[in-house]
Amino acid sequence: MLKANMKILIVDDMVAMRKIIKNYLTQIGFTNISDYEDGAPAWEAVQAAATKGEPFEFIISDWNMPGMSGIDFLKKIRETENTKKIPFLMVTAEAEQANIVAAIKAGVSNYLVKPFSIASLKEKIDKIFNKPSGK
Amino acid sequence: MANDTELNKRFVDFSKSFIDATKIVFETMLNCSLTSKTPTYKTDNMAKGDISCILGVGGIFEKIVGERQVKSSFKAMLVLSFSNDVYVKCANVMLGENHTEFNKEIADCGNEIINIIVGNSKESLNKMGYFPTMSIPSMVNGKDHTLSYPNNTNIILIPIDSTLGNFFIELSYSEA
Repeated sequence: MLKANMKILIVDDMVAMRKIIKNYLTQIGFTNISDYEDGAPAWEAVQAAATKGEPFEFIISDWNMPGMSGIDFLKKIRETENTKKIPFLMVTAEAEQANIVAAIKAGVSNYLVKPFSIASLKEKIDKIFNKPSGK
Repeated sequence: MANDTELNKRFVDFSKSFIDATKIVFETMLNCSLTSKTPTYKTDNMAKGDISCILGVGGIFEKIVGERQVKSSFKAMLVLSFSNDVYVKCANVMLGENHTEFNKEIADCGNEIINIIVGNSKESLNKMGYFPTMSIPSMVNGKDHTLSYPNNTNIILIPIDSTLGNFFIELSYSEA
């Protein structure tokens, strides 16, 4: 059962996209959502939260960001002992096969191609957390 | 050098990718159906709306001439031009917010939309032999603003009817 207060982190350099994802997550029923505009400060926040014993439970990150990219952020998460198991959904602008293969190799939990609807975001979350979609 | 008929045909095919991608993006993210009206050639640089979202696209395209594959370059500019009212309505639906006028909190919605449209059009452009790279989107706002199209380029204007209000797609295209 997914908790409404599951600690979720959104990382995207575009304010609009962070707000869209936050809006979708809120409509799905989630309440504990933080956001950052770049992989570098997000990585600091993830480490700080894990060290404090209050780790993020789910990360949604854009691929293309001007500072630390989504793929580099994912690699850091997966390389670090106390963050490596955090479910990670990558959002990409294009369904480029090379990007998707690289993300899978780096250990992404699932990926979502823009544009996406609330239903497709919910479906991905359900798949990541092994919950039958729509239930 | 391409003759005008070939160039116009390629421009029409090229524009379909962006029109289709715009429909998909609006339907998926704004739950908004679009109907594109008959395109016309545009000869001035006045924007049709109060807020214009602009993205430059350029790169290489491959075409078959006789039995040979020839590489050439192209340059294009996509513009989505909205009235203030329609822009604010679209932003409110996208963000789940309730703004009454254009402001900085909704200023990058248009840039995000146009980014996604161009990203989404890439697959069909690739199939047609285009390998585009995108510039960073920008926005111009204000009544009666002008758009800086590259010189010697063809521009088409496509009126769009939507359930959130009407807006315009403008697209310029040229080949080197």
